[in-house]
Amino acid sequence: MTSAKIAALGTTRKMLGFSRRTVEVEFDNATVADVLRQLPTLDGRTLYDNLVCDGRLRGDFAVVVDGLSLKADQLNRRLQGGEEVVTMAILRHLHGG
Amino acid sequence: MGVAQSVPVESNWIPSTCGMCLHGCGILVQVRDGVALKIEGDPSNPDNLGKLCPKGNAGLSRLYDPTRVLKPMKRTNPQKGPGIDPKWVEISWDEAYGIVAQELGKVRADDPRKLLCAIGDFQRILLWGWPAAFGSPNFFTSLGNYCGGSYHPVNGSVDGSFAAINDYDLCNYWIQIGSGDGFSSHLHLAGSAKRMADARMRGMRVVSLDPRCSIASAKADEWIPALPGTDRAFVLGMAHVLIHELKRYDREFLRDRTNAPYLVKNDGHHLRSADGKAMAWDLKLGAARPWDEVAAGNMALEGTFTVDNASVRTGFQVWTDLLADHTPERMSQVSTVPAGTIRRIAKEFVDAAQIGATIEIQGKTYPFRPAALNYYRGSQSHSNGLFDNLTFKMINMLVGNIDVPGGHLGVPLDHRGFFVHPGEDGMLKPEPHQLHPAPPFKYPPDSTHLMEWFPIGFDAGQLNTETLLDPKKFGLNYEPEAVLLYHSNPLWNLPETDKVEKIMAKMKFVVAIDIQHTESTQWADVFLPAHTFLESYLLNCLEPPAVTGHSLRQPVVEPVGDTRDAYDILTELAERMGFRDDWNDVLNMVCGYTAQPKYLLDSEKRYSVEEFWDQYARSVYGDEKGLDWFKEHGHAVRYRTPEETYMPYGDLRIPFYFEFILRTGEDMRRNFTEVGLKDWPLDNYQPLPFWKNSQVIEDEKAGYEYFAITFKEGLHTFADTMVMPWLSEVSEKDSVHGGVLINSLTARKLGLKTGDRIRLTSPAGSIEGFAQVIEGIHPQVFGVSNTLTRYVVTNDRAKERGTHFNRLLTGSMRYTDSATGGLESTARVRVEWVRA
Amino acid sequence: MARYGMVIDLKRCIGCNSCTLACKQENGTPEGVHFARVVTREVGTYPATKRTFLPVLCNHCSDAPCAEACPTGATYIRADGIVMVDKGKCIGCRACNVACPYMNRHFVAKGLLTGYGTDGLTPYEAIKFLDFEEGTNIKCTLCAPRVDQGLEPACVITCPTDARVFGDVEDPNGKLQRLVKDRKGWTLSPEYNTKPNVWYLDE
Repeated sequence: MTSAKIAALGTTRKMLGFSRRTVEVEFDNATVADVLRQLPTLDGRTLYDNLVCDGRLRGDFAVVVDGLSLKADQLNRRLQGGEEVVTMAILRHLHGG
Repeated sequence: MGVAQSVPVESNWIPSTCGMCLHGCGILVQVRDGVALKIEGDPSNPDNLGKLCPKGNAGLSRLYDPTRVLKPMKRTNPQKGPGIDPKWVEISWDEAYGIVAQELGKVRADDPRKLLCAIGDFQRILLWGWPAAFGSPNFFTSLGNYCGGSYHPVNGSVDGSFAAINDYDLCNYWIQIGSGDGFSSHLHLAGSAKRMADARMRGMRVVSLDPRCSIASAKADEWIPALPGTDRAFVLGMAHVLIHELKRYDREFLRDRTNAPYLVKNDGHHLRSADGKAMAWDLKLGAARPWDEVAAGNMALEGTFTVDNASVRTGFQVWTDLLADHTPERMSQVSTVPAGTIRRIAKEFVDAAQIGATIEIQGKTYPFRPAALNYYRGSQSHSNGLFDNLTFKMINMLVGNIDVPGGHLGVPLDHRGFFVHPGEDGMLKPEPHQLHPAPPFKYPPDSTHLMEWFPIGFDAGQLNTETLLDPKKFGLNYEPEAVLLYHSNPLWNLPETDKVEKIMAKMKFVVAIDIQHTESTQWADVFLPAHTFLESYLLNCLEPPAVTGHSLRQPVVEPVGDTRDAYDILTELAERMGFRDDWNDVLNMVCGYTAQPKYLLDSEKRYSVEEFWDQYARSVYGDEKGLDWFKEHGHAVRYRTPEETYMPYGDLRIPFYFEFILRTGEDMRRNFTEVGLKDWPLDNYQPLPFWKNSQVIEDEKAGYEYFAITFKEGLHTFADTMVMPWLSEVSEKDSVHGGVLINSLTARKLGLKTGDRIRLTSPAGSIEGFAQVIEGIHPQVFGVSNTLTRYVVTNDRAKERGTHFNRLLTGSMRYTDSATGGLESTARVRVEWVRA
Repeated sequence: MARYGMVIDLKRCIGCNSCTLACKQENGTPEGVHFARVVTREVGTYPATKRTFLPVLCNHCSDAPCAEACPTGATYIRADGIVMVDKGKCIGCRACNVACPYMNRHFVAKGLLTGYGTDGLTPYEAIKFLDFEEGTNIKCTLCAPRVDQGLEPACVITCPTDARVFGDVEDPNGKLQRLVKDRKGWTLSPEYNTKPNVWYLDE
C-alpha cells in the first residue's frame, strides 16, 4: 500500500475536481506515475493522461514531491508512502521589476 | 499653553517597515491617542541601524496627505485626456467593486488577455501574480525595466543574485558607475549610507564615473565625467590595459572558478567531447580534453590551439583578441575620458585588488580582493545594456573579486538567498529569471510586452508603446480594452507619453488602485483608494545588501479614510469575478507553499490580510513566529553570515564566456525564422561584450548634438514623493532640482542663462523647461531631475513641473537591447531657446 | 554641568537632508520653517568642481545675541547651554530675528499655522501646532524635551552617515572636544563673536 497526499492547484485542481486528497495505491513502493494513473479527472480520463506525454511530464506542468520539482523523466520515482505530491500548471505570466 | 512637544514615551512605539521606497527599512512609529506623531529608524534592525533617509522621515506627510484619495470614486466625465477633469463622485465600496467586477468580468469572459496590468508595488511582489490568476500576461509599465532590464538577468546568470554591491566592510578601492549606492539611492539607502561613510572614513578610496556631479561624485575622491551610455567603453579600456598592457589579472580565479579556459571554436560554440562535455587545453598533454579531466595546474587560460585542423581558443583568449583594438585612446574618443585616466584607474584598480591575497574570516580562509567596481541604472540602462552589465562583471572577474571578501558581491532577491544550482560543464546554471519562469517562445505572442520573445530578458514594458498601436505588426491577435493600475503610473514611467495617451484613449475601462491622483489615475473610471504603508500589512525585505530576513509592516493607526489594504482589494475583486480559488493557487505558488504543502492555502477559503501574512510568516520562520510574533518584534532581520555572503557558487564555475547567450540567440533565430519574422533584431545575443555604438550614439549623425539624462537623489523616488510638500520644499532649494541642468561652458556657448525657457528635442519627442546653469555636468549633457517631471501632481507648492523626461525616450526596438529587452534611458537631443 | 553642543563631520555628510526632515517631523514646524537644514553649494569650475553640503542649525551660542536682544527675557539660555524660548513671554517684536547672524530665528507670521494643506489641519498638525502661537518667534531647542529624557536630538539619531555628534562641548576628554582637536574643527563665522557651540569638521 502506498499512500500519497495529493494537492492540486489551478488547472490540475479543475481537472480533478478537488484540491486536497490522500490516495492509496494498492501495492508498495508505487511510482509517481502510478499515483497519477490512479487519479480520475473530470474528463473521464486520469491525471496521468492529462499531464504526461510519451512517458514524460508535459513541459507546462509541474509535479513537486516533498518539495522537489520532478524533471520530465522522473515520474518513475518510487514513493515510500506519505509523501506530499503537489501538481500544477506552470505559471509563466507572473511579473516583477 | 498647549500640549508640550511630543515627548517620546517607551510604551507607544510600534515597530513597522517604511514604505517610501522599494526597500523597507525598519521603523518605530510613535502613536498617541490614535495619531502618528513620529517615525524613527528601528535601532534593533541591522538593515538600517536606526537610521532613516529623508523620505522615511517624511512618512507622516504621506499618511496625512490632505490630497490623498480617501473614498472610492467613480468618474462622471466620459471625456478622457490629459488635463481633463474626471469629475469624480464618491461611491460606496460595494458599488465600486461591483462596477469593476462587472467591467473586468466582461473582459475576462471575452479574452482575459485584453486586460493590461500596470503594477508597481514592489514591497508586495507576492501579489504581482494577480494578473496571472485573472488570465492576463500583460505588464503595462516600464517600472523595473527602467533600471533592471539588463541588470537582473546578468546578475542571475553570474552568481544567482538579483542585485550587486561591493563589500562595504573590506573594500579599499571602490569604483562606482552611474549609481547612488551608499549616497543617494538604490539598495537600502539609510543603512548603505552608514556603511559607505564608515568605509570612507577608514580610508576606502571612491572613484565615481558619471556624466553628472552626483552625490557619489561630490563625495568621491575622484569624479570622472563621461558621456552617458559610454561607461562600458571606459571599462573595456580598463580591461584592455589589464590584459594587453599590464598583463595583470587573477589567473587562478579565471582558470579555476570560471569557464574562461574552456575552448571555443570559430563558430563561437565550445569545443565539446563526443559525449558533449566542454573541453579545455591540457598544457601538460598538449591536447584538448574534457574540462573535468584536466588538472587545475595544467589547464590553459590563454592561447590559440589546433584541434582536428581547426583553430580553437580559450574563452579568455577570445575576449583578449576582441579587446585588442579597445585601446584607451579609442575608448577615450568614445567616452571623452582621457586615455591617461583610463590607464591610471586600471593600474590603481589592479594594484588595490591584491591578487593572490587571502583573509581569514571566522576561521575560514578566503581570497581577499579589496578592489571592486559597482554600477547601477545610469551605467547600463541602455540599448546595449547586456554588454554593459557583462563588461562590469568581467572587469571584476579579471581581478578575481566576485563574491569574495573586499570585492564585488551578489545581493540576493530576498530571504531565499542566491539561486545557485549545478548547470552544464561544471558551471552553475544561469538564472536570469528570478521573478518568474521564462515563458517559452510563442507566435503569435500572448503578451503585449512580448515577454515570450525575450527568454533571458526582463519584462520590457516599454515595448507596449510599439505593440499597442500596431498589434498586427507583432502578430498579436487581440486588442486590449481595459487597464488595471496598482501603484503604477505608466503615463509617467513609459516612454513617448503621446503614444501612451493614444493607447489609453482606446481603453474602454480603467481601474486605479492607488493613494493619490496621478497622470495615470486621471484616466480611470473607478478609483479604489488603498492604505498607505502606515495603515497596512506586509512582510518584506527586498535586495538587502548586508542582511537577510523580513520586516513586518503593520497598521500603526486606524485608516485615515475609507481605504483598504491592497491585498484585500485584489482578493475581493477576484472573489466577485469568480476566480478567488485561482488567486489562492497563484499565491500558493509565489509564496513557495508547493514545497511546503502544510501551508498551502485552501482554494475554497478566503483569507483575510492578517491570515495571509500570518501563514506566510509561519511558512518561513516556523509556527512560533506568525503575525503576532512579528507584531511584537517588528522584524526577523539579521546579518548574512560569511557563508551566506561569500562564494555562493562553491565549486561551480561562473560564466566568463557566455556561450548560453549565443545559443539562446541561435534558438531564437530559428524560432523567428520559422514564423516568418527573420528580421527581428537578435544582434545582442553575444557571448562577450565589446564596444559598438548604440542608436543613441548614432543619433548624432541626424543632428542631435547633446545628450539628455534623468536622475534622482535621496529626497525623492518613484513619482509619488513629488506630491509631498515636506519633501518638495526642501528639494527645490538645491540647484540640481532647479531646472534643466546645463554646463556653464555650454550655456555660454549657446547664449543661455539660468531661467531661460529651453526646449530639448530627441528623435522621439520634445520637452520644455527652465535652464539651470551649473558646473557639475558634462558639457555635452543636459540633466533633468525627476523632481521636474510630474505634470499632474496634487502638490500646488511644487514649483517645477511638466519637464517630463520620458517623452524624450522611445520603446522602439532600435533603442532596446535585443537580448534583454532593456530600455534606453538616455536620449540624444537638440536644444533651442524658447524665451528668456 | 554639561554644556550641550554638536559636532558635524562634513566628510561624512552626504547632504541627504534626513536631518532636515527628522527635525521637521519631530518639531512639526510650519511650512517653510526649518530649524535644521542643509546649505548646498557648487565650488570650483568644471571639471574640477564639486558640490558641498553644510548642515546648519541653531548654534546655541554661549553669547547668544538673540537672548541679549530679547526685551522680555522670552529667549533665555538654560544652564546646560540650550537657548530656549518661553512662548508665553514672547511679544513677537522680532529683535531676535535681527540679532541672529545665522538666520536661525523663525517668526510665526499670521496665517502660517493653517497647515500645509488648504482644508484645515491634519491630525498630526492639530497636535504639533499647539506648540506654536502666531506672532511669536520659534527656534531649534536642540530637542530639549528629548535631551531631558536622556535621548539625543532627532537630527542626530537619524543621520544615516553618523555625521552629527551630540554631547558636552566643554568636557576636555569628551568625544566632541577630541574630534574638534583631532580634525581642527571650526565654527561658522566666529567673527560674529557669539561663541557658537556647533563645530564643523572639514571634508
